[in-house]
Amino acid sequence: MEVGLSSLKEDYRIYILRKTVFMIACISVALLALGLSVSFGKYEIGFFESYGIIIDHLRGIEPADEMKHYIVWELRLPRAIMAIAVGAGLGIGGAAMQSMLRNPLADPYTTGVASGASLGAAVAIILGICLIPSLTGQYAIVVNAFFFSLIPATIIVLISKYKKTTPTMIILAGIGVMYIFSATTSLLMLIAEPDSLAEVYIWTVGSLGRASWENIPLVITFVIIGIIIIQTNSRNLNILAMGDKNAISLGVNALRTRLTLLVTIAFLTAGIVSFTGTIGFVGLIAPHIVRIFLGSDNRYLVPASAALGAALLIVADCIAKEAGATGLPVGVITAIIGGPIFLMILLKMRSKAWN
Amino acid sequence: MATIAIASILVVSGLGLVLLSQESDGYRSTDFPERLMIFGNANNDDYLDEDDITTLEKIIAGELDAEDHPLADANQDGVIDQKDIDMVRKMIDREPMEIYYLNAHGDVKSVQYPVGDVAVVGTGIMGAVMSIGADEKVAARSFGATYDRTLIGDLYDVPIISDSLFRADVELVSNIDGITAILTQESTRYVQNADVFENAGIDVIRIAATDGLDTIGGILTLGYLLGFEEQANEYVRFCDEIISYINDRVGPDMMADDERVTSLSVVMINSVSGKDSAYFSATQIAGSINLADWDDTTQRFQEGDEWLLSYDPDFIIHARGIGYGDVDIQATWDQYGQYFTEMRAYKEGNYHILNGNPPVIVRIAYIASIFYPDIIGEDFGDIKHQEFLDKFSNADNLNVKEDVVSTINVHMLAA
Repeated sequence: MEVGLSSLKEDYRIYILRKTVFMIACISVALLALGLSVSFGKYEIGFFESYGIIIDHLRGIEPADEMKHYIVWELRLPRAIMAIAVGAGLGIGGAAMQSMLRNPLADPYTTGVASGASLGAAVAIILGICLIPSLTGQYAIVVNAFFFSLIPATIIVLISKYKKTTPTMIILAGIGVMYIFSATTSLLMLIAEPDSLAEVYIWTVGSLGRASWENIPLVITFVIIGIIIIQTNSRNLNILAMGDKNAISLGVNALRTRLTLLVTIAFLTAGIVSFTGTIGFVGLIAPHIVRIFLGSDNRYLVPASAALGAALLIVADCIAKEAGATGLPVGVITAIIGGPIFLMILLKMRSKAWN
Repeated sequence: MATIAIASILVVSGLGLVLLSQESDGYRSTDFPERLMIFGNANNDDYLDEDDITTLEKIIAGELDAEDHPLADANQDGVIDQKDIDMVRKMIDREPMEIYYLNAHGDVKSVQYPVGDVAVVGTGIMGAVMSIGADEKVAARSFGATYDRTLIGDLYDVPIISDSLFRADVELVSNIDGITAILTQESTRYVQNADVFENAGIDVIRIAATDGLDTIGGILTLGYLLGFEEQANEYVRFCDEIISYINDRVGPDMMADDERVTSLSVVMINSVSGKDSAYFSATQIAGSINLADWDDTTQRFQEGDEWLLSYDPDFIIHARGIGYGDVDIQATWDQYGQYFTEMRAYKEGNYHILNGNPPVIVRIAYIASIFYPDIIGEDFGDIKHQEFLDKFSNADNLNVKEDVVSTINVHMLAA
């Protein structure tokens, strides 16, 4: 009996160690990529020179080369930080969504947030209409994208609340709402001038190029609040995975938990997508990869998905910045890389990861 | 390399101007090769006349090499013989008949001369039609929010045959009686369903209407096809004079490379023109060294991009269709200038928004004024713009300096 308990403790210790090592590895990769990313880009600035510029800036030393200072301090550093924040947000949103809906196809955009944001951006770009009339330009796009992105999510939440729907119904309702919003966006794009059309298209692809010191605090705030709420509910997510009836028998109000998480993920994703456009696949594949290594325990799955999402996105952005003659939007890279990875995961994934 | 590029453009366009005959009773240019792209134009000048018959006779007699006269085979039967002379004779007499021409892509096409009523697809071709006063031929147009009513006048109200600037819908065209051809411009984005129209017996005539000096040949060819040759030649005279004026002052023989300004040009919101762009050649014709070293038509400079910051032009010319109506100068400046604020040209006040609604040749005049105000004259653009409006548009009531925003620069912004 003593031997059995000791063995069990040892197994548990290894179990915890493995999860900790995986998370530390993800965080290390993210930090390493963050460190390297400030020297990635189309403008030739060396690694040490980049850090020299950052250190000089922090010490208040006047930049010797204004253009290089602008590129490192105003473009690359905010972009790298944004990549970490957005990747973490999408990763955690995807993990929570998949666990809550018990569906491997769910991601942060499942409630139609991205289609709502795209419509909001299209309304601002093509029609020049902003929900806050005094705003114009990028501010109008961000505000519209944020509020429009919450509309589909609100519809899903209301359907969930009053119809007491199943997770499957939530996904199907999300698809339905997404089609309505996407069709409206397509209609607007049909009548758009070429300039506006191109702008809407670029916006929808998803890019970290709009990162700036002004918008980073907002995005980070959304991500941190999202992480706190979702991590706090991670135990409840584990219970929800057993089914609503079991959850109720264990004292968890399934409907209320699901609504709380739906609203949290909606705000988290809206906060991200309104600044970056739709960056696909990170929220879908990060939780899947984590499940392969750590299983489905949301207490570890959620933070590890955040760490892996951050690592994936910043690595993808390093590639995006160097790709082609002018660089590519990171949304293109995540889609190109994410699609095959997702297929590979599906083929290799142990079915027990979902049990 | 830049010198060679500028030289090649300006020499081709400029040398012939030496021989311009500018008699008061009519303009006649004879030294520009291959501008009038009509088969039968055997001597490659701007006219179909007795000189073409003479050239054909010499080719048949073996005195001239047919390979030097690519437009000599009027009937496109692969042989230059008496039949071509007979056909050109009819063409000189302007008899209705099927003729052959080279379109903007260099494809041999046939069309019934003179072309009857047309539907136009594209702002450039619409402007070209208006420039030669052929608006009576236009029975329909594609949808386009960028058509400027000031320039196209009543044509704004003709039936619309698509939901896009670039398209023509077969059914909508079929509903309008008498349309014999779709008139469009060089980009393949326009009238992608050309095959459908041609199978239905409606010619699709693709004319160079936006691409630098090629537009001059486009206008000549268009003028012939529509039966508006005299007006087309008047317009070509206007173009030739502008090019000649610029060439005489900042042409390759007039200025060394190190005296030239450098430039980049931008179209749409943030698409920087490459070597294949009309604006690349426009800035070179205007006497600058364009720094773009990529072959694509344009490359986008998005927020957060770095690639453009490696270039350091003296001037950035940003062409936008801002129309002939009221323009919010500050808002326009903010909208388009925002991408270029970190570039030296912007910081030094050399970022200019150029109204893209006037024709290419007027825009070239403005660009030259911007680059070299002391040599070209800072009013040169305005003067030529006014001349264009007075002679070649329905907007002759407009005063360019008072009524039109032709360019926007930092000095025009409110303090």
